[in-house]
Amino acid sequence: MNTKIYKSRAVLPGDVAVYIIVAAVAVLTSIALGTNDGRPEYVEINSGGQIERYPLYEERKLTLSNEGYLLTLVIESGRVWIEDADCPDRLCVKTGKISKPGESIICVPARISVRLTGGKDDSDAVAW
Amino acid sequence: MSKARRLALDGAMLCVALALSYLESILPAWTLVPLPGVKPGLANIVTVLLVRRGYVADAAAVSFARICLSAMLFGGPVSYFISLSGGAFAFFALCVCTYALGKFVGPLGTSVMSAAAHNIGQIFAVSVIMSPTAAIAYLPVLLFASLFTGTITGIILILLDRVKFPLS
Repeated sequence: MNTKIYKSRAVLPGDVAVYIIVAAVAVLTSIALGTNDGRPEYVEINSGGQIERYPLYEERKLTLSNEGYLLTLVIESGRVWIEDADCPDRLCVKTGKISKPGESIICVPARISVRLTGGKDDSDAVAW
Repeated sequence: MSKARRLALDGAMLCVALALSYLESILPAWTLVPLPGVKPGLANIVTVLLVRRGYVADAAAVSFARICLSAMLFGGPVSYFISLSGGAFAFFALCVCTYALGKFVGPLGTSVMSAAAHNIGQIFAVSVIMSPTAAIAYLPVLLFASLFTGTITGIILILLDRVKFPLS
């Protein structure tokens, strides 16, 4: 079995290439998703496959429940956030407030996703 | 290497990987990476180290066992599926970087690529079980994060490359 210790130089030219490629893909996907321009109009909530839409500019507080978890969603002055959740990791709460089209909040344990639609990104499909 | 020695090595490596997984789960999120849901991927150091020393099958076994155990201890069935997908993508990228591109790509590139592949794998899993459109929105931010987290684990790997393996 090959057990040789790699004693190459710490940084190889391919390392730089990897950084450039990953950064380029990140920039390109960010442009393709168009998360930075336009004005969203709707809040689209996918709760275990069931999709509901609410206008973004109407203040609202919703209780979402799925897979035995409860999430409190707040829509206020064009921003959406999960105020409270009883799932184990609470990543949806930590994601914070979203306000741009295409931005989303995902709660994996509850299988709930919240997405902003409308504005420039009007379709449900992602433009690649 | 004898069978017993190999078993001991893999067992020890699994313990280290699991301890690192646990460390990540108790560290406050902002300690290393100030983004929700982004972890530095310290447990992957063990996998990369084993692959770079030629123990590919052992690395796959340790990685798989670590994912199963941490899902049982700290996660649930959904996070298990997501971790497994991330782990498989990361392992594939790691093997490609080490064996096909080993002459050009060093520890830093390998761990950045592995971290990026891990995040892509996780997004793929979330797309399958939940909504693809919502999941893909996370891709740019997670890819940028992998540059950072991959650098952290890459630096640790450069330091480990100077250490002789105790069991070989």
